[in-house]
Amino acid sequence: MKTFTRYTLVFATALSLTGCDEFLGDNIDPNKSGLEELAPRDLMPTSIYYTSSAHYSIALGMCQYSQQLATYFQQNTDAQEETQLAGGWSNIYLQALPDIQTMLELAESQNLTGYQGIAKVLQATNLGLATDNWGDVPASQATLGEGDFSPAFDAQEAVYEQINSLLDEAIVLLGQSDSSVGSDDLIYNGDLSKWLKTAYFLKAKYSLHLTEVDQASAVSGALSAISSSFTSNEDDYELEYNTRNFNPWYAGVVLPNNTGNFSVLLNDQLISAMDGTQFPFATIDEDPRIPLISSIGENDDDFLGAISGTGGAYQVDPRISATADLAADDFYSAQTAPIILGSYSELKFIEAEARFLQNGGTPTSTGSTAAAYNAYLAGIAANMDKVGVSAADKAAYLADASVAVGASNLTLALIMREKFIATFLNPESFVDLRRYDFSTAVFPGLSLPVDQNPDIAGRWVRRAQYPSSEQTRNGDEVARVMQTIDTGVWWDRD
Amino acid sequence: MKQLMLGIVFLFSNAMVQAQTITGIVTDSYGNPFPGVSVVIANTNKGTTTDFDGKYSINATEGAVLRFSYLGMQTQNITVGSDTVIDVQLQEDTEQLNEVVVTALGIKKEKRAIGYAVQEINSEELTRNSNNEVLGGLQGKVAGVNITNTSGAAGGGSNIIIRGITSLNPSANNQPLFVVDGIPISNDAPTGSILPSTGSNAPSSSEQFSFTNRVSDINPQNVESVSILKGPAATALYGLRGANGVVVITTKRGSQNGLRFDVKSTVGFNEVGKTPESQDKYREGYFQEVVSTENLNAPTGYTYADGYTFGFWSFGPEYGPGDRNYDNFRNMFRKGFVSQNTIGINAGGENASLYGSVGYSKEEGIVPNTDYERKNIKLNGNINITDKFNIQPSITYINAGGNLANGGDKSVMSALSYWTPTIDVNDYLLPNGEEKNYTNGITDNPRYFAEKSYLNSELNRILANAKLAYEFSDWFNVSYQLGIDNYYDKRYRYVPGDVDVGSATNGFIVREGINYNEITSNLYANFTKKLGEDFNASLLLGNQISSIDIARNTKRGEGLAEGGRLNNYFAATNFFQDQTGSERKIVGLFGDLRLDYKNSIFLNITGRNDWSSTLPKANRSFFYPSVSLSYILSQTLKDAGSLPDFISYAKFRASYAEVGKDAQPYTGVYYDQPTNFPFGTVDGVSRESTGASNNLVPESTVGKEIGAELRFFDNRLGFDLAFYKQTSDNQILPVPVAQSSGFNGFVLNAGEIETNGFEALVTITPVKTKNFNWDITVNFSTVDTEVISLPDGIDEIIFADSGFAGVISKLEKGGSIGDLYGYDWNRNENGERLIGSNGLPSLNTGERVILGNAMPDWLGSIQHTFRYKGLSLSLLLERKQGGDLYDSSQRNSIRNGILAVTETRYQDIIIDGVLADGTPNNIPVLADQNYYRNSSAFNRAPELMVQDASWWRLRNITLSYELGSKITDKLPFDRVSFSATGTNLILTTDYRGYDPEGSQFSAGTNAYGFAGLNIPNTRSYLFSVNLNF
Repeated sequence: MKTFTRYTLVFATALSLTGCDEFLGDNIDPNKSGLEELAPRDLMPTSIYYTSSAHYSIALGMCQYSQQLATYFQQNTDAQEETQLAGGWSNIYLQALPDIQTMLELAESQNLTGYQGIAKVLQATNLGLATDNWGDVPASQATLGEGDFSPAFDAQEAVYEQINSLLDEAIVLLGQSDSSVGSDDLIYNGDLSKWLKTAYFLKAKYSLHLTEVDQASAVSGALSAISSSFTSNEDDYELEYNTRNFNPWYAGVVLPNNTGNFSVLLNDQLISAMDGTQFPFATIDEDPRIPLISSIGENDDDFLGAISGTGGAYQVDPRISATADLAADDFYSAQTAPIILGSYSELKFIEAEARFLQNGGTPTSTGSTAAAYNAYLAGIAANMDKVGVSAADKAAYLADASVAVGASNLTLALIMREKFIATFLNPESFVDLRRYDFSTAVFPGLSLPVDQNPDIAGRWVRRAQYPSSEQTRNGDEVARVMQTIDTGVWWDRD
Repeated sequence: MKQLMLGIVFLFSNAMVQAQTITGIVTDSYGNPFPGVSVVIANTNKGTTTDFDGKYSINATEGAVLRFSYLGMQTQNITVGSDTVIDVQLQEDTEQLNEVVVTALGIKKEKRAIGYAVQEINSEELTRNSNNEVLGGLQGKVAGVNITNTSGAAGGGSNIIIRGITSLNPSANNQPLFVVDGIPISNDAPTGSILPSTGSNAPSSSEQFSFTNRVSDINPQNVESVSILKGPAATALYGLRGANGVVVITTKRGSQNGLRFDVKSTVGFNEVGKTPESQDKYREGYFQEVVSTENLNAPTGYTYADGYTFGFWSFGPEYGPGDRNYDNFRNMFRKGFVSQNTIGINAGGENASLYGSVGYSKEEGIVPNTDYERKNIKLNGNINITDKFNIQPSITYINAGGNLANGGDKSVMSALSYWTPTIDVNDYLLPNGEEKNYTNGITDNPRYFAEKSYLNSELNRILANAKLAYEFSDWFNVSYQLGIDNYYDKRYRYVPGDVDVGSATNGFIVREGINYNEITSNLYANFTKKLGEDFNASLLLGNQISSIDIARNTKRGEGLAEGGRLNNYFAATNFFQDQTGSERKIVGLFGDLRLDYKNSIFLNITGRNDWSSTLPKANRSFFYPSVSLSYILSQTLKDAGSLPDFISYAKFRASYAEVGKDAQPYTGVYYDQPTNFPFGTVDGVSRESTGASNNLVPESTVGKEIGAELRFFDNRLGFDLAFYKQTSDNQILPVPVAQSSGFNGFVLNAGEIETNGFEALVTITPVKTKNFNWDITVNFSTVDTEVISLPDGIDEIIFADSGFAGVISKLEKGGSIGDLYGYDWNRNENGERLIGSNGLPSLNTGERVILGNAMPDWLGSIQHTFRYKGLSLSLLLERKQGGDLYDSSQRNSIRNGILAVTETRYQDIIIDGVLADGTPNNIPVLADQNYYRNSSAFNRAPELMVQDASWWRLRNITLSYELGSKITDKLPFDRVSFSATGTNLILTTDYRGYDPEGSQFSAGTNAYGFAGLNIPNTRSYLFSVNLNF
């Protein structure tokens, strides 16, 4: 009865004294945060985390197109069936970009230049991932929320301009001192000088993407940025996972494999670039990185990659199953392995390629400058150090006559083979294939998949399709820019 | 106990006066003995009821007035004279003028005065099948109400939809409002946060437990009646929360019949109902070779053929000597023992009465290691403090819970769908206590999974309310009621590292607490006025305030100690935590004006204004009216003396109503910690992918209904018909927006949906004699929905997606709720199936076509009740016509060669279709594992994916017998009855999976048409004894 009286009184007072409106309250969720309660540091970890997730989601699809990976299933992505990379799209547009934008706006209002600079680097990373794989994408009008529920798509050329402006602005901002960024920066722990190097790395990378648009300026743009960028593996642009937050290749590929949910394994194109098939070794048997980035079963003898489109076969007739899986003790797919968004090694291959081209090199030409050759060797060494090759094995590989060809025998195929290995599980590998139009001179042994998607029979896949959610919810814009998947993006010219 | 109760009653009683024993027999107009008639001494607490032979016995003083009453009969008052034997013949109230039903706010109205459809189920009807849940007792008995058992698990929920789904929002609550004794109660079935941070090992997986919908906490034995208010006109007074219909439950409140006990005890068992048919010709193996051979010394209990590290499939050779075939789909499940006991106590006198009950039920699940228990204690009082002041306090305590069974992907049920019939699923342990599993971890041994991993839920709930009523004068009274519904559901899920879903994180434990608190305050003022000879008016003014708080706290520990096995949360390695909650407040003011003229025309006008906390301040107040009219043609004719003999009653009714709906709590855009954060030790927040506009306005539903109630031939034939149309627009829903906008959904006002329906209730009494009665009740209903418009720029709204299989439930403009889409074959321009040069058809995965609709075309039921003296037999037959289902488990079983549809093997077949040149296919194909495992030629075939799930079922058959007075006179009981009920004993359907009534998703979901991985529905056999004394 006491309780009864109390509640009665509460309700009576609720109505009569405080009034209806006050009783009904402000309709604000007490368990969550509104914008006004946040600081830039609250959004830094998620901005980085989702950027890394986007990189993984896109790599899972694009590295099948690039023939670093293959699948256990026929008529799948590695057979160049359409992929929409829906997970990557939502990582970028639903998660990374909104959080980065919020961080940027908060940082601007508080004049925190470090956060602003990092935000712009991350924005450039995400927009680059998007446009390189889908072509024209929402950029200038993206993530405006209630302001625009069907954002206009920007032409890729405009997206590239936006990426470059973001990086230029980031370079200015990161050059100023700001000690407010700390452990919330999951990549560099607040070391803005490394973010500055990353901005230059991205400048170099995106500049070189335009070799088919304007090779001379692509090359000079890349080379001018390289000297301000990474100087060692310590500078790598990567997110390291931990025993609580698992590396996505571990969580998404390795663990499901344990319980029969097979997905992807290593492609024959990659293994054959490493086991002497395409580039016969003089003295060593195989690239020492093979067992560091892949694993085979107890009863298997050889690392056999799968041929695209065969559902996991190393050989079709008679069928021999491929054996090279991603496993829990491999460099890229361990529980705590990093997702590498950009590396010193990749930078050195950008340099090697740029210098090779600057020197008048072509896909079929031989010989280049010492600088190009040294960058090539430095890139190999850096990647070998990265994945944990022993000093002896590294030395043996670097000394093998098939690798240590000397500047006068350097070819684009050698540079790109090493970049292909060093950018394992990086969508960049598919950018490179497209820039050289799937040339077998540059990528020896490259061929169309078995049972290729009949819709593009005989032609190479060149892009991902827009996710069906975007097609049904932003139909007019998608219809305006949609292309078949064998159509090149703006920078992908014949 | 009885003495204690007697003592309490004595307190309420007047002093005993010298009395004599009056006996007699009450008969109906045919002279048949009339059992159950209430015999009360007027103005006292004393009373009894007649036994089966119509006999009663009561102590009364001379001059006392005995009142004999029974619903539908004219009450008789007889003054006790010198005679000690008083026999009475009750006359039927042929027009059933006094038939009273409970309507909105618990207001009892004469049915004739009501201008909309309302159907009431009384206690006897509700508890006839001895179902332990109120919804189970209502099943098949109310036209326009679709009640389905979503799961056969112990404590598994039931889903109820009144007049179809009227929302475009896949996550909207379409369940009706439940009101118990004037106070709304929660019927939520909160689903669980049950996955580890890595998610399930299967992409786009959502595991499901059979979460209980909370109305199952109500013990049907405590229920006096249930009224179903279907349309907006019926529910208008409940405001926005009544927009999906209202189920008004009135509990027993004691009567003035002295001290009476009512004991009902039920025992029985459940067993799995229909199961899929497996092939019994080919054993475990692959490519016609045996793969797994039992070897108890091997780590998994099996050794494998050369080249294999695990077994999985049933594409082996034909069964040979020594092989056995197990019906694992059936053997996996056990007979689950059920017991239900309720003791009810009625005590009452002139100024006070009391109903109390204690109930305990226990159900073993058909899945091993699952169970559900429910304990209730209830006390309802009714006290007249003075002639004018009445208090009705009520309190119910419920403790319910158990180990819930696990359905869905990566569950016991999905593991079972892969398991070969060659290996006994119940042989699950190795001599060393480890799991025996021929698949070597590719899938779990389902029995092992069930035995080792569990989700326990324990709920404590209090429903309490008190109502005070004061009669200021004979035309004006005021009542006030305050009620609370509070529960706390404590959940604990343990998953060791050696079962699939726990393997990624080396085991995990989820601890979750869900607190629900709802407070309701009702204030009513009633005015009644006779305005003239033939003209009456009454007016009710009311205020209702509701406040609903929900809080949920989830903690997860991952990486269990002792190799992933230690069932100790605190010894885990990684911890995650999440807290969510909401608060919703509604204030309503309403009026209800009733006018009647010559007892033949009834006009009812209502208006309600709600203020809801969940809408933006500027739009949070909204008003909606209703008007309904009832006209009793038979009264007019009778008054005019021209009513034909064969017409007993004829009423026509019409109504119009508007109802508003508010939004979910908390509009705007929020940031929250992602589920797998902190990252290492670093916290972070992310913008939520669904936002809500700060400019929402209330959703609006307009309902129009017409109907008729017609009875003929002395009420031996009756019809109650209703036609309605409901239009809901300005729907509040998370509109799926382009993700490039930064949101996946944004809650806006958009879209319109229209529902048309027809309902019929037919009652027939073909035989009515002294000893034998035969009653037939037929229910029929049909609901059609059409999407009139979708939000601008949106082509479709997806309700559920099967993933790779391609079947989705979605809405398009012009479509209907429940539409199922999927892939079709590649066809030529004539629509003929194209066969490729390999002899196989191929799927067109580029687009989806409509494959069916999950909603039934119509629902019908026929209930026969035969009564012969004390013996009665009741049969309830139900039909669901149409309503298609996607069976999620079927593809697993086909790919593994388990189902009977894969039994045609190792012979050439020619598949129907045409070749590219248009000629009939003549290319033979070998029907082997490659064929059945081919997801573009066989196991995603549209005709396999979505099946017609129409059924006939004998929902209940109940045989009961009540002892005659010759026996009960010698026993210390007034009435003794026995009954036996079988539920779902007969099921006829073409559907190939488990009983198609089940649903993949927990009760209360909006995703229909998905089944196969839920716990299969059961058959049950129950035996009850009911004692009254």
